[in-house]
Amino acid sequence: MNVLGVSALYHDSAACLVRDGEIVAAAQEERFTRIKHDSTIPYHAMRYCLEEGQVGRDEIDVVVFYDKPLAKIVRMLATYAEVSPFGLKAFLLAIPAWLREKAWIPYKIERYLAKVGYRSPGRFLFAEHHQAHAASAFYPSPFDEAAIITVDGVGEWASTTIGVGQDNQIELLFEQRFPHSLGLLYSAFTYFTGFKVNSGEYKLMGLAPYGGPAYVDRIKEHLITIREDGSFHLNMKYFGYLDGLTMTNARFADLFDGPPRKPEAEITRREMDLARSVQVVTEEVMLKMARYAKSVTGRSHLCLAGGVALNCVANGTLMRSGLYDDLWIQPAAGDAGGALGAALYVWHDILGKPRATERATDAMKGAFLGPAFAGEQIAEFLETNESPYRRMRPDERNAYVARAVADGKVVGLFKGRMEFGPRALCNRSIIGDARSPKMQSHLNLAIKFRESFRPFAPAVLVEDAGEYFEILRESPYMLLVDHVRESRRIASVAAERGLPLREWVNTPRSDVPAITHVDYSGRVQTVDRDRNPEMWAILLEFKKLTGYGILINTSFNVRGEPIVCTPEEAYTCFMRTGMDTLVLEDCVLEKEAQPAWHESTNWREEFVLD
Amino acid sequence: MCFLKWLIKLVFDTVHMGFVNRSLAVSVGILAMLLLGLVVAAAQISAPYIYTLF
Repeated sequence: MNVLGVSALYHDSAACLVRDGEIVAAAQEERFTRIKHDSTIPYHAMRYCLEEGQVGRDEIDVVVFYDKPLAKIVRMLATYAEVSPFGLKAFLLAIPAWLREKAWIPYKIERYLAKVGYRSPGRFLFAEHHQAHAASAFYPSPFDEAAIITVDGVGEWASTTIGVGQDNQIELLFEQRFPHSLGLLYSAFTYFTGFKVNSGEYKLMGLAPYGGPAYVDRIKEHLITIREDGSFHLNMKYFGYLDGLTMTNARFADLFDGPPRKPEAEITRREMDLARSVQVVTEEVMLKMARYAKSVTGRSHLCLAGGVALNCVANGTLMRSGLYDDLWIQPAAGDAGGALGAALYVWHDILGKPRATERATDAMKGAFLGPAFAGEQIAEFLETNESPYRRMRPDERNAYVARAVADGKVVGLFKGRMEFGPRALCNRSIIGDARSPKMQSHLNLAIKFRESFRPFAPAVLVEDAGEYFEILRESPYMLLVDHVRESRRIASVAAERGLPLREWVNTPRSDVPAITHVDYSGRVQTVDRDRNPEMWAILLEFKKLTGYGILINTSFNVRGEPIVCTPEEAYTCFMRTGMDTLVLEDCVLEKEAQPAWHESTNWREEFVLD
Repeated sequence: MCFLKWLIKLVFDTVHMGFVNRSLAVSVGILAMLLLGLVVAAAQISAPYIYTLF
């Protein structure tokens, strides 16, 4: 039985195919349309999933959408009724959009499927937004039973839920309702500090370690009342998302010493302190919620999903708290994962099908659920393009890549199936030497063309994670932050706080400085042989050469660009940036051997900065 | 045909939701907006012909 899950029309639309309970394919629409966080109905992703699964024209049994459009419009109407006559502008923007798009989701999907040769699906269903998140968190997890927390901006009404999963059933026990939302609180600060809402939240998280918790008391005194059970109440006087077109209003600006930072303006101490302060508050709420979830469910494992579950610093705090024996976080925790959750929800909750009993690991297949390209196909492209390359055996290629990185080169790595979710997990990645003190700034400024303060994540051999990080055992999806071991640290953070941001960033803090953030933290990806044998082998080769089983791993894209999907996009990105070597499956390309790269237009204008 | 099928479903679901939640006013409101939306859409589609007529 084929279940096609679809999420769309908010941000990060995606599709996922689940066949007989197995996740066959999943992809975000942005990777095909090349529009970051694309929210349109994911026609390309749907088509990819159906083709990947070789679904016949009359073999789509169920299509499921990840939220309930009618419940959403009721929430929107109720909100506007409450704040009227204010909020008219927002009303006039939101309602026509609903009438044009959301009301017609099944019609549009069915019409598209007919256009590409598929017959009407047997059933068209709608899951609740947080039910979909909860399903995406629990069903693919390696646990038989677990507490579940979903936290995001808002679904229909719920912004946070606590539930429990047992075998093939999920029960949501409590919910926090809109407008009181941890995700929207974080987004409000994202907006106020000059980053894009629903996109720049991870930048705010990366900025937090540079600041101090100077505004925590002010936030807790004026913006949020946190209860012991982790529920909370936002003081809507300070927020603009109910009756305006911005996340915060003038009162918010008065409270935090001036107007919001303009995008791309200089980042000041205020923004750093605000980032740190909201991070502290977020972690406090998450910890209390997790404690309460444990007390009401009695479970020793926790599953997380929803956009806030991408806050890997908070996840790391949860892990270190020792509240639960183990955590599992959906790698596509944001709305994209809703497509996957909705499909699994249909399979288990609606159809009552059992979960697989053998669960040595999770069911996400390393999150490698997207398109792959054969070596022959890539070689043909390179021949047509007249791009010099060498074809290598896998072991030869792995050794070559390790040597190149050890020599200080930056390598673009394109192999296997594309990742599902926001993280590049070494199949569409740029890798570099974590030991180099200049690598962070080189990657940020010459390759990614992004803000210099942004940290880079390490990919480390799972067997060696304990040598570099304090607590971490396994983090295959780069969703946990841990601290670099004391023995590897080389400078005092306190002494650096007075330095200008760029100097501070470039000050080495450990023997793997390129992946050590200013607070000695790192957003770790552990690489194991089962999930990613090629990357595991590259790390092993690198370790043989240098003694270090750790590399920088950053997504294969430039700022504002979705992660590359095809070999053509990878080659273009390689030629546009300062990367030295490109690996396209078994084809290896060196920059200096390539023909000169010319573009008639300024490619940087192609992508809207995120 | 496909459009008609989903239009009927949408109207049915909207009315059904009103009964279930005992808030028929909301259902009526949504249906009114829907009607307005359809009128606007119809006007946009038929505009060239209307201009020709008048």
